[in-house]
Formats: sequence, C-alpha cells, structure tokens
Amino acid sequence: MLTPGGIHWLSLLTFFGVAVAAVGVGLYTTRVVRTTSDYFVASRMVSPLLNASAIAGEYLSAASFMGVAAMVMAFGYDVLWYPVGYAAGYLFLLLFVAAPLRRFGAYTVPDFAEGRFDSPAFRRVAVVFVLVVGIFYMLPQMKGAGLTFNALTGAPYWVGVVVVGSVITLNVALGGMKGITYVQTFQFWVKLFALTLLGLGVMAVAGWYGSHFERVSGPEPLRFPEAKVVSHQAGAVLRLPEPARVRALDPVALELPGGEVRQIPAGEAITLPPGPSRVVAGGRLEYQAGSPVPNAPVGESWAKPFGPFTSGLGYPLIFTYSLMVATVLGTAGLPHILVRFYTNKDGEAARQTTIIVIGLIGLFYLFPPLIGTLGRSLVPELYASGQTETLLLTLPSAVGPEWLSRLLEAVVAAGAFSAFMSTTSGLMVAVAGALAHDVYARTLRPRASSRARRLAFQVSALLAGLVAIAAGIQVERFAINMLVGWAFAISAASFFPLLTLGIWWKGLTLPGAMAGTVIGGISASVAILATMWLAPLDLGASESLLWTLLAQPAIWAIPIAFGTMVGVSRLTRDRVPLDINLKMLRMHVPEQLGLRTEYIRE
Amino acid sequence: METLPLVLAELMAVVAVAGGVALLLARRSRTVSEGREQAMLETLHLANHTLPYLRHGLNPHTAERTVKLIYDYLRPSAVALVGNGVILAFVGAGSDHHRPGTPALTQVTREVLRTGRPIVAPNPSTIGCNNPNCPLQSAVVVPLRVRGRTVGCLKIYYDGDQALTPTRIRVADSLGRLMSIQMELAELDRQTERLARAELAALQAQISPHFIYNTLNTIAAFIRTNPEQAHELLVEFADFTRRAFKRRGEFASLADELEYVHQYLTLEKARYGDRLEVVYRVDPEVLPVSVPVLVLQPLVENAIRHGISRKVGPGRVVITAEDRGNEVLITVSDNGVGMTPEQVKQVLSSDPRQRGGLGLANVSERLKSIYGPERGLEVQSAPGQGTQVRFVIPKFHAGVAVGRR
Repeated sequence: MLTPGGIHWLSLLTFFGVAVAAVGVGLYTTRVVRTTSDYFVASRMVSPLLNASAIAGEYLSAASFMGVAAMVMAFGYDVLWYPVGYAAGYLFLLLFVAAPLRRFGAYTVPDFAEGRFDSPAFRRVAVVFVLVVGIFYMLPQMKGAGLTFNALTGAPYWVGVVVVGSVITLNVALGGMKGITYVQTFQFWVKLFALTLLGLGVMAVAGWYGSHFERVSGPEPLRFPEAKVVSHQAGAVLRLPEPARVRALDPVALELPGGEVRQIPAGEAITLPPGPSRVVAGGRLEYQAGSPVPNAPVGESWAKPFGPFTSGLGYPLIFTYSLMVATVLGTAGLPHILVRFYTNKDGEAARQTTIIVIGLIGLFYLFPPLIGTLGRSLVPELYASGQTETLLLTLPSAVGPEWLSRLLEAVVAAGAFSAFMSTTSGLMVAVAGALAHDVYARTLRPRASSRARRLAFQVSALLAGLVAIAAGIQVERFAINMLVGWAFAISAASFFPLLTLGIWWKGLTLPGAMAGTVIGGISASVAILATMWLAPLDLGASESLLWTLLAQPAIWAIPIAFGTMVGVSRLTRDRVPLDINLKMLRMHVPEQLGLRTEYIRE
Repeated sequence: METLPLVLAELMAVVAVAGGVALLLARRSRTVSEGREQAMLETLHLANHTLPYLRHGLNPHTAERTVKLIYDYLRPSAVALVGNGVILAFVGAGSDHHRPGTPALTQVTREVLRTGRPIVAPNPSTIGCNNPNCPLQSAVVVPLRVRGRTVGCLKIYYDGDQALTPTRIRVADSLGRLMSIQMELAELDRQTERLARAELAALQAQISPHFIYNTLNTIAAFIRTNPEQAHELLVEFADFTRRAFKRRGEFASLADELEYVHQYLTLEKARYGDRLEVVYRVDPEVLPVSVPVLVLQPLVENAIRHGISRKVGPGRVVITAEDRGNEVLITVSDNGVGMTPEQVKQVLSSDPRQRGGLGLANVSERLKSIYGPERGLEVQSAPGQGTQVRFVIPKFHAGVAVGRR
C-alpha cells in the first residue's frame, strides 16, 4: 500500500513512530526510583559519554541529516565545508569555552553575560540574541519537515510544516523535558543508524563508493545510465550541455534556447538542443539512456573547489572563508547546545564530553558526503526535476530488492523526524525558557508563583512554535544549510566574541562587551535579512563584493565585534568588575586544586 | 568593483558609531565639579551618623532615627523612608497625612519602587500625592536596593523647583547608595546567622546524644543477628558524622545534598525498618545544580518526624527534583498525618517563640534571602492527607556557586 506521495505506509508509520518512541524513552527513564543502593546518586549522574550522545543528538539537525547529503549532490566539493565547520566548531568549544563556562556555573549565555559583568541589563540584551538565533535556527528544521512530509504524503509544503511543527510544539509544551538526556541520546543513535544503514545498504547493492565517484567526477557531462521519466513543473529551466533525446508522456510545451515555443504532444519524441530551455506547460518527459542530465554540474567542477556553489560569485574565496568562520565559531553560541554542558559534573567532565562529541559527530559526518555522491550517480533525475533536497528519501527506491528499498525508506523517515524533533525541541526549550524566565518572570511579573512561571513556559513554547511555523512556511526557497549557516553567523558574531573575551580577557568591561555583542549581532542579522529579501529579486549582483559580504557576514562582523569590545573596553578601563580576579579564578582553576570542594576529602 | 567604496563606507559608518558610543561612555566619568565635592562632604557627614542604624536592617525604629538625622542636617521640607510600600518614617511638612505605618501615598514612590531608578519630581503634579492639600512641592526619590532588588526608597522633599540643586540631588543619590550597601551588609549578617543556626540545628538533630544513642542501639541489635549489616551501618554512621562535622561553604551541588540525605535516610531506615519507604525521582540533568547547603535534609527530617513517625502503619517519603529548563523544582512529600492550615503557618513562621519546625522556617528564610521573596518554601498539607513541601531553584543565580564561602 502506497501513500499518495508514492511512498510506502511503513515510512509514514516510522516517521511518526519515532516521536512516540522518543516520548516513551523520556517517560521510562524518569520513572520513580525506589532504591536502597549506596551508590544511588553516583549512578544517576550523567556520564560524559551519555551527555556527548545527547549533545550530538540535539546538534544533528535536518541540515546535517538530509541537507548536507543533498547539498553535496547538488554542488559537490564546495559544500564539504559545511560538515567540516559543524564538526570543527566543537574544537573551539573544547579549547576556549566548555570547561571555564561549566566551572562558572552559567546555564545560558544570558547567565554568563549577567554573572560575568554583574549586569541584569546586559542579560536582557543577550536574551534578545538568544531569541534571534533560536528562531532563525528553527526555520531550516521547519523547511526540512515540510519537504519530507511532502515527499512522504504528497501534501503541500506548508501542511508538513504545520503538522510536524505542531506535534513538536505540543510535545515540548506538555512536558517535553521528560528524560531529555535519554531522549536526545536515543535520537542520536536513530540518526546515526539511519544514515549508516542507508549508506551501507545502498553500496551493498549498487557497488562501493569508489566506482560511483569515478563515474560522476570526470570531464564528461553526467548522463542517464538508463531511460528515466522526469516530471517537470511549468517555469522550470532545463540547462543541457549537449543535445538530449526525450519522449513526452504528457503534452508538454517548451521554450527552446532560440526563443521558439514548441508544443510536444504526448507520445512524441524530440531532440532538445543544448542550452537553457524553459518549461511552459509541465508534464512528464522520458529521457533516453545516455542522454545528458539537465542542470547537473559537470563532474570536473563538481569535484573541485569553487565549483557550482560559489562559481557564480565574484569572490568565492571570501565567501568560503566567511562560511568556515561562521560554522566553526558559531557552535559555541547556539542556545540549545550550550545548556547541555551544564549537565556535566564539572569542567573536566565538560572537556571530556566535548572530545567525545567531536568523535561522534565526526563519525556521523562520514556518511552525508558519501550519500551525496551515491545520489549523483544513482538518482540523477533529481537534478532534472530540481528536487535534489529530497535525495535521502528518493535514494532508497533506486536500489532493489523491493523490501530493502522499503526498509531503508522507513529508517530514513524515522531518522528525519528524529532530526527535526531533537533540534527543534532543544531550541524551543531554550527560546521558551528565555521568554518565560527572562521576559515574563524577571521583567513582566517578578513576583509570579512557580505555577504561573510553569504556565508561562508552556505559553511561550506555543508562541515560539507558532512563530517558527509561520516563518518556516516562508522559507521554502532557501537551501536548508544556507539557513543554518546564517543562524551560525549571527551566533558567531554576537556570542562568540563575548564568550572568548569574557572568559580569557580580564580587561573586558560591561560597556565594551555590550557594544560588541550588539554591533556584531545586529550587523550580521541585518546583512542576512537583506540577503533574504534581495535574493529572490535576482538583481544579478552576485558578482559584487558587497553581495558576498552580505550573504556571508561572519568574516567582517566577527572582527568588528571583537574590535568594538577591545576598543570600548580600553576606553572604559575603570569599569572592569572589581572582583574580576575572583571570577577568573572560578573559571580557570582546575577542579583538582579543590577550590570548589565543600567536604574535606581524605 | 564599483561596490567596494560602498562596503568601505559601511564599515567606516559602523566603526564611527562604535567609536561614538565609546567616547560617550568614557566621558561620563570624567567631569568633576565643585558641587560634587560639597555633595561628597555632606554625604560623608550624614553617612557617618546614619549608617550605624541601618546596619541593623530597615525597620520602623532604624528608619525613624535615620530620617531625623537627615532632616536635622539638610533641613529640607520633609524626609521619608519607605519600605515594602509602607511609610516607615516621615518627618517634616505633610506629616499629618503621610503617617508611618500607612501605605505610601504618592505616585512617584510607587514608580521608584517599581522601576528601581531614582526620580526627581520638580512639582506637586509629578509627586502625585492623592491629598490635594499636600504642602510638598518638589522631591528627590532614590531607591534602596539589596542584592539587585528594590526594597524601599528614601525621599527628600523641598520647597519648590529652585530648591532642587544638582548638589542636593547628588547628595540624595549618594545617600541612597550608601544606605543600600549598609542594608546589604545587614542582610549578609542575617544570612550568616541563619546558616549558622541551620548547621547548629542539623548537628543537634543528628549528632545529639539521643541520635547517637538510637543509632548505636540499632546497630547493637544487628550485631548478633546480622553482623554484615551492623558493620555497614557503623561505616555509614562514621562517614555521616565526618560529613556533618566537616561540612562547610554556603552552597553545594544537588548531588552532594542528595547523597547527604541518602546517608541520613539509611540510618533512619535502620531504625524504622519496613515502616519507612523512600522513593527518589530525580532528573539526572539537575544533579550538578548549586543549592544552598542543608536545604533538603531538614525537609526530609520534618517529613519523617512530623509526618511518618506519628502515623500508624508504614509511611512513604517521596523526594523529587524535576528539570524545568532554567529552573529546578524540588519537592519532598510524605503520606503521614498531615497538618492543619494553622500548623502550616506555624512551621513557616520565622518567630522562634511560635516554634513548630525551626528547620522549615530557616530553610524558607534562606531561600528567600538568596533568590528573592517569592522563592521560599510552598507547603501543601491537610490533616490525614500527608504533606508536600516544594521550592524552585534557578540553575544560575548571580553570585551563587558551589563551594562559595
């Protein structure tokens, strides 16, 4: 039995089933413990391995799970920086942030901002950027949800956003914190299992990676290995490097490169000339075996730096560096990741956790580029239909036998839901927490009872969910990883300088830190919003330096933030907190020295 | 390349804005004038005399002394001190309707208490007294803040607009700050005292001759029948006393507090046997949270002593710590005999003469003084229905860290 989207009902079942399973894991692990064990507390402590799995589970979002593979298929080598940057971010977290922040006892960035400078006002400023980054980061998750739901059921994009968004929002609002560490760990292993099984399963049937890579990375245009039917929407453009022989299965009208509009009745075969043809009336075309794949980049440029992703830009090198800077430095400021480090026992454990996270995430990221390459080789029709983003859901059907396709599809569907759910829940908890804790309980109603604050959290979660769904419907045209990259850029420009200088430089003052955070965060946000508004207008400005700098603002916004912090701090030297030495001591003295022990240990 | 100048222009604009902000911030602290020196002298003189009173905290008695001193020295129209929305002391014109012990009458006071910022009110309409015949013309109102919370305000009234010189405004502002610091010190004193009392109470409860006698008797009973368990209990007891004696610092991790409670319960269970069942429901994420020391054990002890021990048949104590994002909800509940509303009020009363449970009142006071007045214990109980005590602790609170002394 197939769903209207042409995908087996089993996939739909696992898609939502994994959500139910996750809730079950949460309820099971928070069950009542009747114990007389002597080691009761020690046994309940979250170990670095468990916490690292949970962090990886929360971190690997739709962008990593489906976006990276899809982008590698579409653009090749150029976009490998995304997974590299996502993983390398933890190296910076390890070196500069994880242990000192844990020792300081800050749960969120606003906590750090307030505690480091004794300023509730700065706390409020930091909360604003937590909300900006959090909401921004939810958009690509919503996009992934809409896309996947569409592929599974055939329902319009917005339906998927609304359905998946509502399920996750309600779960968070009705007690989504239950056993969160175990839930996120469970979801990490679901995601890793799904991608591993997909990669290995496809390769077991269709041949190993090396043979595929060789076939699709040569100087020749990419060709269909066998006849393929592709459904084209009206308005789509087919760019062909060579003439292609096609047969229409429906009546189709094409505007050929010369400008001539050609009506093709159903059943008739024609040879399309090279160059861009525009689809005037949509329908299915059957491409003959050996004909070139429209819109597929040539293997040579696909497998080299500055290929199809950046070659349209005037300054691909600046673009690439800026992207790397954003993804590497942005991790430290992500609101849902930082809070998880608080679960560590101490700074030492925080550091161990980070090292394990790097290992787990590194392992995970082995597969998306590999799957992207397999996709280029096995389902090239996605280039023609412009649906490379659905690669993960289409790839299983390219390999037989039937039961294997169905199984892989179902596993991928479960992994995809895990990806939206884990990251979106984490972000929603962070955003709702900021709204309920800072905006409601500290600003609007300081005397609220604990029950009122609980209700405020639930209302805030619903609010955050509504905003994410409403905005998520608007972003269908942007690639998932572009959106994620932007969230990273805002986080990197606002919070990374604050955390690094705040932790490592005594001379940082409140005016300096505040000015740098605000200027860095606002300039990055404004640049990105400008790009988002201007991109659809197609101004043909992509050659200009300004365009590159607007689309990837990290490379200039971070230095400006750092510069402002240092400059203003030097000018306001007398505002350095009086107890700065004590604060530095708390952040940097290793636990073994015993500054924090409250019992004398023999 | 035409866009390059545009980019440069944008960069320069951002740098210029940043520089401007920086200069503005830097200039603020550089102006010194004669008015300031005079203000300093007056403030110092007043501080010298008023501060010893406020070292004892803000109450009608200390407020009256302080207000009189300020009035005698500055000779304004009137001086008032407000705490918790109530006039604590008022001297000067208008004292017929601004009476100590009544709620603050003016708009401007409420505004300062709400925002925590000083306000200069140059005319009667901005003062906003609800008595139309009020003789007060202009006022400086400065907040008194303890640990970031506005607890009251100091108000100095003058004849008219001209009387509000910059010097006088500065004096009022500086006085407010000095008084706040003094009250903060008073608060710290009280906190230290409460902590000391808590430690003493804990020591008395656990290391009292009675407790030693009971525990040793229990162990003695096991020596012949179950030497293995007797050995374990003795080790537990030794470890427990070591912890109790060597405990120090104002904060500990929740994990340590739970471990301490667990140890205490092991010894109690040896005595109660099957009559006492203990259930933990702890989210592992909250174990590293910093909590004030000895907040949990008194609640558990209270549940056993006042709930379970008076009950016929087996009882159960449930200890939960629930992760709520930025906060932790901690509850201790029992299915014991329960309390009437009056008893609930009594155990939370800080008045030592109404002694019902020193432990609970002490814990509640300490929680309030650290985290704010709304963060004390919430007690739910009814006779025969058992008791639940709950409180919420933020995961991060400025100034709180494990091991702080």
